[in-house]
Parts: sequence; structure tokens; C-alpha cells
Amino acid sequence: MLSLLAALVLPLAAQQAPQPVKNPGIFTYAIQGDVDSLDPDWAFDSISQEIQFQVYETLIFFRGSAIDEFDPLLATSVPTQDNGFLSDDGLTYAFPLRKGVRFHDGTPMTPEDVKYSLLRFMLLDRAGGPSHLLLNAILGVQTAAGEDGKPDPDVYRAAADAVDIEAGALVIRLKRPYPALLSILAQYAPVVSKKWIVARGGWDGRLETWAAHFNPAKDATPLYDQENGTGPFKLARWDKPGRELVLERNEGYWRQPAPLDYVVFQSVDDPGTRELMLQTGDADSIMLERQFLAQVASMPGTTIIDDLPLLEVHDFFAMTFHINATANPYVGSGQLDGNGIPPDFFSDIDVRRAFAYSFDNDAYLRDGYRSKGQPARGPIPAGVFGYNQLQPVYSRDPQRAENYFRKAFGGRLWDTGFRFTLAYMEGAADRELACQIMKADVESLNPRFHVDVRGLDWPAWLADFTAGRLPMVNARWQLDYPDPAASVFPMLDGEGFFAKAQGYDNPRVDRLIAQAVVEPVQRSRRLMYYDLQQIAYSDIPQIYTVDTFFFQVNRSWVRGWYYNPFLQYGYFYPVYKEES
Amino acid sequence: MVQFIAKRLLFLPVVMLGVTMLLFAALQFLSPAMRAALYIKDPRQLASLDQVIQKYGLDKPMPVQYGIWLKQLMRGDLGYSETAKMPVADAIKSFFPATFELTCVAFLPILAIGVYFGVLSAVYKDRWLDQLSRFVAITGYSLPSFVLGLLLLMVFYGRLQWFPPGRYSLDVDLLVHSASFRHYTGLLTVDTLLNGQWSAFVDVAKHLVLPAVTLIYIELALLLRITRSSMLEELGKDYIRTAKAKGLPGSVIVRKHALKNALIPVVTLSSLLFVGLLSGVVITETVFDFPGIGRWGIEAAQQLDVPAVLGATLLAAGLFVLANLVSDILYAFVDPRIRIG
Repeated sequence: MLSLLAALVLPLAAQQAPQPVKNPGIFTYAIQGDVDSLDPDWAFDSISQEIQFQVYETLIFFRGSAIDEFDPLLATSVPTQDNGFLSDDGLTYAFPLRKGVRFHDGTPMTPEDVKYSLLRFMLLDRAGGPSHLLLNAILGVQTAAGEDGKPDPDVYRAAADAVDIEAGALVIRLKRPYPALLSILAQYAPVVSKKWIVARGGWDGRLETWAAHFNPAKDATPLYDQENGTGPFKLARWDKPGRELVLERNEGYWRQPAPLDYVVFQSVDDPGTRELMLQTGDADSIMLERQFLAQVASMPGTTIIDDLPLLEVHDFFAMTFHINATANPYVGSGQLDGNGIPPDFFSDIDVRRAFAYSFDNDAYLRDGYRSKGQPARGPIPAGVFGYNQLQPVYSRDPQRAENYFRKAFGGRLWDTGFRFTLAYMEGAADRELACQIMKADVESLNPRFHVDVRGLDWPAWLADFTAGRLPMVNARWQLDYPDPAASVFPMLDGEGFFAKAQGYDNPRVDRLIAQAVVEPVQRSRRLMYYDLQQIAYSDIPQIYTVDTFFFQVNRSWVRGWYYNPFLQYGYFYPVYKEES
Repeated sequence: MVQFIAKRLLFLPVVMLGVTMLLFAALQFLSPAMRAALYIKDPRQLASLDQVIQKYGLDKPMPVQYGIWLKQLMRGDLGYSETAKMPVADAIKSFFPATFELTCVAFLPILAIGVYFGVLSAVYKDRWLDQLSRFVAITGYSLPSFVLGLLLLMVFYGRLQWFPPGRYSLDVDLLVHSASFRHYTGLLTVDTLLNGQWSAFVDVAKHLVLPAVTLIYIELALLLRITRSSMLEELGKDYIRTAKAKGLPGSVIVRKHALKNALIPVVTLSSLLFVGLLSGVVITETVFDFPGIGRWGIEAAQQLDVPAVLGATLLAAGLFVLANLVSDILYAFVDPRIRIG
């Protein structure tokens, strides 16, 4: 309602003269959602990562908007076979380390810090975290835990052997060629200060102490709400209840200090308020859903950069096959009695099919994205290798949906009905719309069907989803590197972020994913990904909705901002503010 | 009078005990596992829920559970608020000053305007002033606060840029969170002055204007109408006719006789109004992005953050009991028959 009213009144308020630059040294970003954790080895969400890009630094970094070209950052060279830092067999990478880099506390970065950072990234291995990216790339394993769920000493030894310091360079030895390694290292495993972390009770890097720091709780790591990176900005304040995070310029930065004095991230749920902040210049950038874009399009002093490519599985529904029903408020009674759902509700393929046939994706594409995009065809987004544009998709068919609901649970479900909570990230109006469409479409089939839509704040969403407490969610997944493996693994592999939390486990899928990663023949590889998309269509672990484009809304005085699909919300080091 | 106040004060813990019993009874609608879940911060701890149940005695007989729960309350242990990412007691300490400040800024004008114009409306019944106050009251009472709030934002923030939402601007934000700024009271209007930061005071005051105006306009209506009707009732009584017959001036009749007697319902309403504002003005704080108890409370309710909701409820109940005490004492001042009776 607030958004609707804001939509009516904003155009009236927008008619005003251009303004001079407001707060020239401060960049304010009005965002949706909250920061989950500042620990770069724990957090695995785009908002937390956005902060990390500003305060931490990786060995190499993306060259501008390119997703497959890199510049050295804390390394002095990007390994290639031409420069000799990548071996001919593609198994050994050497990163000569930059000298004269200091952490935010003034202490110098050492080679030991760099080695420790990679080991910590791999071996912290919190459930649902990013560790698998390097574990898989370097060691060819998905987790550092053994079959008993405890940290596996063999993995520690393998990691310690694979990462070493030789002649002032970090050397990484892979088990098998892994071309996506550079892309991963451009985003993950930034350099942290070992001494600083150990002084605050963090892991000291030894095997003997590893178990105590393995798979930690969010606030159990020293880097949860503090940082000591080498980046162009440092943390000034994270006001968690106030939902505001302030970064200040690092005056001792090894490059020229950033032009901006401060970067402020303010979480603002209501899109109308975000638009007003942009209009008045209190925000320099805002996150906005496409359905509201028309309201800012005519706003003076605003720049919209549209049609930006997205490497993202967009706004899909994920269903949890084995719901953790303990003290769970999202499953009602927890039984198939019309007032709740049993833990295995979505294990029934007929239930999943019924939901897939219920959802009106055309309406979502039209109302949520103003028809800018196309129906998603599976877990691989359009534009990524292996995408199959002929892959069949589900579209709304109420009769089929009813038939499957009637068939589900041996025919009992239709008569008893159900109630559960469908969750999305609070403040994401597009995802809320998707949930409301799903609710309306499903409830229209039978008055005994009840879907309660609830926006959860981002950290709560993440915690409850990874704990298997949320029966159904609407979510997004940004690929970690430009390869279908970065999509199908988290979505479909039994150890992947979504599939694991959902309890989806198909050994054939796991095998195919593992084979496709190393398959050298491109045609065969493509067919493997086609197979995976077909299995996703048959098994329906997720319901895919749209493939669309990214857009950025800035004040026109923002300079130096550029888009990279892996740094969607921006890298603020080159950004400054200047009148048009 | 002292005896009267002492009696009321002694009764206060009994009332609060009753409030805690009601809250505890409401909690019993949740299963022990659900209640245990209120004490955990990480869903992964759900695996050890039995230990949590034992630790907090959630499997013990109800009176024992109540005793344990009450002890926790006395220690200030109200659980952990996932919404605020801090213990509930700390969250209340963090959010309450903002709401208190807004309440004070809004309440005093409501009281002054409501009583003054309520009295004038009664005295000048059916004249233009009465009609004007009726118009203000009806529009204020019928206008949803979020509509008024957004309209004010559109004009005074979106267009004129005079009064922004939130509690302060970016530069003041940096100032109040700097090491040099001392937080004496938590009320930023006061603290900025005590720190000698005049421009910061102006900024904080500007941020209070729109939410305060919204509250004043919306909440004024009831007080205005109650004062008017109460005054009209008194002005029609025999003792007023007698006073007039005695030749007392009209202003004396209104101030010294009618108003004093008409104040009883006004005092009741004012105390309820004050508590209502203090308990958190949910819509207004949300529309203006004002970081008070109301905004936190609604976020907590949306997120099923039960400890936070319980904490906010307990706070509201405590404030309500206190307000009742204050209004009882005020009755005694206004009408001596009450304390004697």
C-alpha cells in the first residue's frame, strides 16, 4: 500500500530543478536486504560480498566489466602460460606477491597471511558457505568434512600441500586443470591478517586446532562484524539494529586513496522511500525492482543504466524435500490435516508438479519485469554455455495442476488441504510479487489450500533456509564464474547450496555434474548440461521463472561506476561525485 | 495525598505481576519446543533443543516454569532478538529513546492544542471556531496516518527538501557515532545541545518535524472532541448557572469551575494517549523510517521474532500500568474527592 501511494505521489514530487552535488565525499547506497556477515570465508550472499569487495582484496581482480580478463591486485602478475606463472599442463599457478601492502591496522601483509587466507577459505567450510568453490577447484572435493561430518585431516594435509609460498610467490597446485580458478580467485579468498585473527581467538591455521573452528556459527568468527583487510575502504561502523553500514576511506592504502571519504549502505525496505532518497540526493544509488523503474525514469538528475547482462538464476522457487519441522512456525501443524504440511510434503513429485503448473509465469514476466526478458528454461541462465533454448518449461495449466494435486499423497491432499509459509527476502518487491502470484494461483484451485507469504530479513532467511526450516522460498543465485558448473552445482548437486538445503539428492545428477566439469569435448559437455536441465525439468527441485537483465539507478553526479556481472552493485574505489 | 500515592505505588508490583502472569499464560499456547526455540540464535542449535528445554526448565510444572521465567525477567534476560541482532533488553534500550523523544515532541502540542481548542469549541459552540475544530478533528481521525505521512514526505521532503525522514542526516550520523560525541540521555535533541553541537541539534529537530506533525494531526482529534464534550456537559450544569447568576466573569467560570471538573476524562485520555505513543507508533515510525520501538516491533512481528514481540509487549504493559498510576495521581490533584474517597 505504501509503495502504491508512493507511486502515485512521486511523479508530482519529482518536478523540481536540478540540484548541486549533495554530500560530495559520501556515497550512499539505499539497498534491499541486510549484510549477513563480514567474514569473507563465511558469507556467501551478494550483499555481504558487496561489502567485502570494498574492504578486502584478492590476488587478482576483474578488469573493468570483463568477466574473463583479470588484473593483478595483491599479486603482481596474472598467471598465464606466456608469462610462465602457469605451468604448461595447467596444474600449477604462481602468484608473485605485491610488497608494501598494509592491513587496515597498519601491519604489513606477509606471504604467510596469503597462504593462511587460502587455507582458511577452504577449511572453515561452514555448511552452505563458499569453501567448496576452492576445495573443488584445487583439491577436487566438495567438502572438507569426512563421511562422519567431522573435519577430515586428509583434506587439511592435501590443502596444505597444494598451497605454498615459494620465492615470494603463492603457488597453487591443482589435481586437475580448472580454468575457472582465476575467476574464483578474482572474487573469493581475499587476504586476511592471520596474526590479527589469531589474537581475537580465531583459527591459527594448525591441524590440531582446526576442528574447533570448523563449520562455525555466524557470530563465532572474529571477522563476523569486524574486519582488517587491505582494501581501499575500512569499516567505520556496522549499526545492525539501525541497518546501516559505513565504510571510510583507507588513507594508508597501497594505491592512491579512494576519492570518496565514506560509502554508506542503508537498508531500506520500502521502494517508495528508496526512490525519495534518490530524488532528494540523500541516496546516490538505489536498488530497485523493474516494476518501479518507470517512476524514476523521468526523475531529473537520475541516470538509469539498463540491459546489463545477468549471470543469475532469477527468482526461482525452491522446495525443501525434508523439512526440519522442529519448533518450525512455517509448517503450521506439521501434519497433513489442512492446518499445516508434513515434513515430506514436497518430496511428493505430484505436489511439485502441481505447484509448477499452478504458477502463472507469463503474468510474472509481464507485471514484475514489464516483459523485459523471457521465461527461464532451467537452472542455466540464458547466455551461459549449455543453455538449451528448446528445453520444455512449465506454464500455468490449472487443470493439470488440479489433477496433480488430486493425485498427491494418495489422493488425500485435495480433501484435507494444506497451509504453509512461502518466504522471500524482505524488501524484494519482485520476489514478493512472485510469491503473491504463486499464492493466488494455488489458492484459486481449492479453498482448502493456504499459502502464507512472508518476507524475512535476509540473515533470517539464510539461516532458516540452510537449516531446512523453510518449506518453499523464492530466491536468486548469482553465478560465481561464467560457466554452467557455477549454476548446476549449487542448484542440483547433493552438496550444492540449494540442493543440499532442500534435501534434493539425485546420484545421477551428481555424477553428470562431476563429469561435465572435466569433459574436454565441448559438444559432449553441452549435451551433459542439456541432460541436467532435462532432469531438473523432470525432478522439479526448483521452479524457474524468468531470465532478465540488470539495471542500475544512480544519481547523474555519480562518476566512475561500472558494471560487472560479478560485482553487480559496484566497486567503489574508482567512484566519485561530480556535477554534470 | 502522600498516603494515596504510596498506596498506589505499593499496588504497582501486584499489577505488574498480573501482567507477567497473563503474558506467561499466552506463552503456554506454544509447545515446549517452540518456547525453547525462543532461546536459540542459530537454527543449527535446534538439534540440541532438548538441552535448551532442560536448561530453561521448560519441561517442569507450570508454576516452576513461571518462577524460572520471572527470575529471568528480573535479571533483564528477555531473550535474543533476531530482528535487532542483540538481546531484547539491549534492543529496548537502543530503540526506546528515539520513541520517547518523538512522543515528547508530539505529546505536548497535542495536549496544549487539544485542551485549549476543545475548551474554546465548547465555549463558542456552533460558531466558526467550533466548526473549524470539528473539521480538523474529523479529518485527522479519518485520515490514515500513512496517507498523511506520505503526503507530508512528498511535499516537505520530496519537493521542498525541508524535513527529511530518519532520525538524522549523514553528517550528524557520523558525528553522533564518533568517539568525541557523548551520549548523556539517548535523546538526541538534548545530547546534541549538551555536546554544544547546535547545527546537529537543528538537524535532529528537522527530522522530528514530519513524524511529530503526523502524530499531532492524527491524535489530536480525540482529545479535542472529548475536551469539548466534557466541557459542554459541565457548562450545562446547575453550579455553572449559579456561578453565572452570581455575576462571575465568564473566563473565571470556565477556568476555575468548569474546566477543572471537565478534566477528569481528559486526564484519562491523555495518559492513554501518552502510553500509546510511547509503546511505539508503528505506522508513523515505519513511514518516516524512524528507528523507534514501533518500527522494531512491527519488524519483529513480521519476522516471527517472538522474544522481541514479548519484550515490546512487556514494555507496553509496564508503561500502561505506570500511566494509570500517574493518571490516578492526577485525578487526586484535579478532584480531591477521589483521594478522600
